[in-house]
Amino acid sequence: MSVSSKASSESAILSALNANNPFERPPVVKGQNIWGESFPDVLTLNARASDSVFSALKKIQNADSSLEKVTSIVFTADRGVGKSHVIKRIRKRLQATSEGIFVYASADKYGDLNLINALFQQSIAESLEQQGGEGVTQWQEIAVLMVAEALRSNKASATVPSALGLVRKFDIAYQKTRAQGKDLVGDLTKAIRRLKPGADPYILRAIVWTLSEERGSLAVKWLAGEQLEAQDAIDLRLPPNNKTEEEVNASALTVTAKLLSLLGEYKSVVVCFDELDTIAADKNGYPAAFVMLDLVKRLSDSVSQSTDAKGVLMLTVMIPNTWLHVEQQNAAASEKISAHGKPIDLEYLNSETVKDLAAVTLKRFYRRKGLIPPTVIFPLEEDVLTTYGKGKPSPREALKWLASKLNEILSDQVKLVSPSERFEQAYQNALTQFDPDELNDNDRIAVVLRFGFEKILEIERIKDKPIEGVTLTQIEDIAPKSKNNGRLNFKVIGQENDESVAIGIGVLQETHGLSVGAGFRRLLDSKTFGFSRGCLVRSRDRKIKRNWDSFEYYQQLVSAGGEWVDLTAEDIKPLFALQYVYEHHEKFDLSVRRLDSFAFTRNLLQENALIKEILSRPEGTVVEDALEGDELQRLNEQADLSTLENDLAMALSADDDAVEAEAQADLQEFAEALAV
Amino acid sequence: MASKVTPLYAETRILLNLWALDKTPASKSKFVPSGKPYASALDRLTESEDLAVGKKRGNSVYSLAEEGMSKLAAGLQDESFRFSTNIGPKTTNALLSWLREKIVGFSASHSNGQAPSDSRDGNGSAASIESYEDFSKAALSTYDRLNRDYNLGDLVPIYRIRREMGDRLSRQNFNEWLLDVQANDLIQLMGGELSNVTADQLEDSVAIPGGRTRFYVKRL
Repeated sequence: MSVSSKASSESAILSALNANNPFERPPVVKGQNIWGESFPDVLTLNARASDSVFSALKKIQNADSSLEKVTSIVFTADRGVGKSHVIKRIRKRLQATSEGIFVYASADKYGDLNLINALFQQSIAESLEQQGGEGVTQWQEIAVLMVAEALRSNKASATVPSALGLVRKFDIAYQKTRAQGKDLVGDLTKAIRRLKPGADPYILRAIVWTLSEERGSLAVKWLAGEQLEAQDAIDLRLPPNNKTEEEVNASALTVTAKLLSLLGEYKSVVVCFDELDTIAADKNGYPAAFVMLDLVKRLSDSVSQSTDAKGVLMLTVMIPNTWLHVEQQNAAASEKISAHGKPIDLEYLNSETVKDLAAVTLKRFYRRKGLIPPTVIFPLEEDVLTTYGKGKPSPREALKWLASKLNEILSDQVKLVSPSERFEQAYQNALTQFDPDELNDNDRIAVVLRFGFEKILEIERIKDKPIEGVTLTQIEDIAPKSKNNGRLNFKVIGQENDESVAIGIGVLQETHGLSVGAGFRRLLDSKTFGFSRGCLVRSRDRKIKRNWDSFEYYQQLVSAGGEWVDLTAEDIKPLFALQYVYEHHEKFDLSVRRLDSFAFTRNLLQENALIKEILSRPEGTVVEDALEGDELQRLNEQADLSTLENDLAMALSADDDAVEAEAQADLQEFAEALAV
Repeated sequence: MASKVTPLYAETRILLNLWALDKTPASKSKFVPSGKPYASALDRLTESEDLAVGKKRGNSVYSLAEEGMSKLAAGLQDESFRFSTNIGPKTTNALLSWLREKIVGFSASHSNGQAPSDSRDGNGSAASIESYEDFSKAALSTYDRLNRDYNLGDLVPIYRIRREMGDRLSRQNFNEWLLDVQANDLIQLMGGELSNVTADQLEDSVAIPGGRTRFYVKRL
């Protein structure tokens, strides 16, 4: 229709912008967000930096010498210049092209830097739990490649199922071969090991297990260096990792080097070290940056690749000052951390890219609203942006400036209505800008939820009024931070009758078992963190699988007096909107005191279903609807742990021809089972 | 060196005392401390024409020549010039008035024509900067020199550049032109971590329009 090709009316556009200023919610990319989807990207900006990673990958993939298969790159940039943004772009491109595996290690989440190796092992395991390019996790991608290689080496013409197909059929095939008294995982491990004789057999076995829907999450737990229940260890035929934190840390450097070396044999690996510039330090007083860089250096010394490997690339991002220190104090280390050459400085914006940033952000907005603007940067003016861009702002500064510029343009749009009308209008508009993707962001949800609790304490007229019988007294950070590793978010402290209650809040929206389990263990550790009950905040439609360790933890949490509170978009949206209006109160010409004084504000807080649910006494029951799948069927009921180790050692060392022949026959059957 | 009076010490003190006197020419009893080293220092200064000698009622009277002025400035700058014992208020006050005059002269720029000669560069006070082209050239060479001499790893603080060039142009021109150099893609101004930065360093940095303060310059 000819009408649709015409620009929308100016007033329609301006009133949409007036309702939601698209620049006001800058997409600060942080931590978890690296894995998220929504992403306005100015592709021209810092293309050199992201391209350099991919050309370095090409180089290590094609290198003839195994020494050239491991390299490292450094990006330097100030805060707000878009380090994490470029990282996210690299991650997405790796995923889209299935070119490689992405591992993300953020020092920001590392509570106890003395356990850096163990924490890094966790990061590897958690990163590989994220979706890869073929609808399966990155762990599974690797496992599929391993199995495929083994099957082909067994029989060159073997048909190798698709990644998704293999994952779907794995448990069935496993049960089928088990019924015939065979150990499919063991046979696969042996076959893979013949091709990769240097690889750690337990690690191979665990990675093969990740293909199992049933036991995959336990295998990943093991790969993360966590302890397994004796029975689980027996069933997986893996050592149970009965070690102290310090012991785990001591062995973790070797384990992580082995893991990266093995992964690199199958797919290129990009390991990204981020958020180095925090003020944390280890027990020797070394700042986080040095602890992390030392890890990078040691990894580059110990990761090894064969000549056919796909290579490992370590990407470290830091502020220029930090790099300067590294260079000046330890030139030898700096070569290992930035083997690919001098660090790449991320660019600030210029006149062109400021316009691009404005256009990309507005385009997204107009598309969502179904509007067609007369120019891509409407209602901003090109020469104003050009002049501003000459100052070379950072993207974060530019978004802020663009937001205020747009508000200036729109200022005559503000109708002179009463303060309460202004407030409600702003609030209603803010409600509409909620992005469902925000439900994936633990940190963001926690910030908004904490805002709600703190606001209750700040508003004189409601602070002493009990909600669900609890009068709030304080909101606290989770301490000790070193034990928390950023898993739990904050503590709500209050009085219930004459008893004090301290509720530990953990927003855990992850959809894989490893991270949820790690959060759960902290919710259960009320002694360390000093709360009277733990409260899991998680959407109930993100079901907990009965074969996860979290299934057990959930039951423990309920019997310890804790609960799982359902996080719904509907309940959290009002808090997002309210927080937005407070943050931008000046724009609406409303003071914070004024906002505090509205009955509407008080109601939003006091009546918020999520806040009420957190404060109300737990029902003490497990919500079955929020669970799915079956409990684990025990594989080796009668076996016990002491025989396991012997058993394993024997099974793994048995390499004689008879066993080999047998294993090959078994693989044949496996391939057939999968082909069905 | 203990209490031995060096020629430098003796000469500088004589020059300082003479400089601080209200009335010159003055007879030597007014400004030459007693002692042999000072007597011979006076002879040397007279001979080298740092001091101008005249006659007044048959007595020799002295005044400070142009050369003596520079010698005094150089002597005070010289690190081996130092006091090794208590000195009286006369000398201390003479120093004070020297300081006052020089500091006033510094902050009031060239207005009184008394800028101390710059013994570090040896080329005296440099000409003022009147155009963007001059600025760009001078700023980049200052950048290069600081970067090299102090091993700054390509991150040169803006305040150091400003202080090197400070007396050659107005603050306003410095800010404007530095942003222009950036707009022409010759440098990138960067924020950096400002936790260890003092208020005066921050004041001597530059803010971009509609953005935060920039602390470092990096040459592109």
